[in-house]
Amino acid sequence: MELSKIVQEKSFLGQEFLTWLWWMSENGAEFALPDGKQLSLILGERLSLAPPWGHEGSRVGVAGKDQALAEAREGLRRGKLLDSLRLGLNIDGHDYWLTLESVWLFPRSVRLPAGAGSEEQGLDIDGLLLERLALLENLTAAVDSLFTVFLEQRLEHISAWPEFKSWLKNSGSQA
Amino acid sequence: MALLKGSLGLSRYKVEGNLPSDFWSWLNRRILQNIFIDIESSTIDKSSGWVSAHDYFDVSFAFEVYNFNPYVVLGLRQDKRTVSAALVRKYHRLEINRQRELQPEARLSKPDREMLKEKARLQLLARIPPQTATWEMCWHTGRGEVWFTTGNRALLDTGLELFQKSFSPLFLTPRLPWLMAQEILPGHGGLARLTPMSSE
Repeated sequence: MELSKIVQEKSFLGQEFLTWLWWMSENGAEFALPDGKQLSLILGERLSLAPPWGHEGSRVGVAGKDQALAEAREGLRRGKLLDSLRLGLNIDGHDYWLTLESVWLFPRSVRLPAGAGSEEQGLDIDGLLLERLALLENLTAAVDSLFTVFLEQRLEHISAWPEFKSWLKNSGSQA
Repeated sequence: MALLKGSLGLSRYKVEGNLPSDFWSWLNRRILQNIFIDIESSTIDKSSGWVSAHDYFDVSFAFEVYNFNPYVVLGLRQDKRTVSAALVRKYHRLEINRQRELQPEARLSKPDREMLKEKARLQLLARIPPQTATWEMCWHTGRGEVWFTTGNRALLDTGLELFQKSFSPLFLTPRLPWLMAQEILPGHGGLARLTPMSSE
């Protein structure tokens, strides 16, 4: 299948993944990564919603805390899905921040754990670079692991996913 | 250098194809064949190529500065001059006027006018310094993955073309969710039956 066709027809998977991440963060879900590290999610203060692929409708971007989230929940209740999400990944006690967009899932505005890979550690330039590359590898591997867990759950619920659907439907009442 | 400091974005691609058995010497050859060529003192409008990630003026790659085994870290540099159509029109007219002053009786043919237009464009290109854009590529040879530290579509395209030109027959495919799914669960029959939840 051509790339443009995949982007057009299969982008629902990215939207569903981001929405699932919100659900998981709200449930306080914890994940064991393949390398033994523990991962938990922190919902950031910036996200956007859009109608599911192939549906008409407007995009909603929200930033901030309670009120903005209430608006986003209302969007979910009305059938919109996440289009982009600011997310914190706590990996073994270290916070990594990134923004994910549904189409590409490329990590944007990445912030690595405070202090790690900084000059304060007394590393030379090459040492700093290797330290930061290792952190970026942790981050991208964690995103891939989360996507794998999502995919396995999604395929288990190929015809219906009542728990997820129920959260989507009732999310407006949690505001 | 975004990889070294502050916040950054990564555009992720999978490397398709098998690495040659003499990978590091092959890599060195291919990098040196595709280094950035300076266009500062020329009328060339665009140039792109590999530079050191630490210093975009350095294209010597002494001591294989890109080798952070298993990572390959390279800088990309693109220099580009742009001359606006309005500016070309203005200097084209000035060239035509100058020609008419020199040869008042001569009638300018269409090819003559085109030649004067190209002359005006080249003179402008020589006067306009190129704008430089730099970003980095990190290639994780173990994972078969490449990251570009830009989200700019045009720069990404330049990076993809340069990778293909330098390291063919290897090529890159974006890590789109659907392609990732096929990679994680190859041949899983469920993927083909997967439809948007909204339509269930």
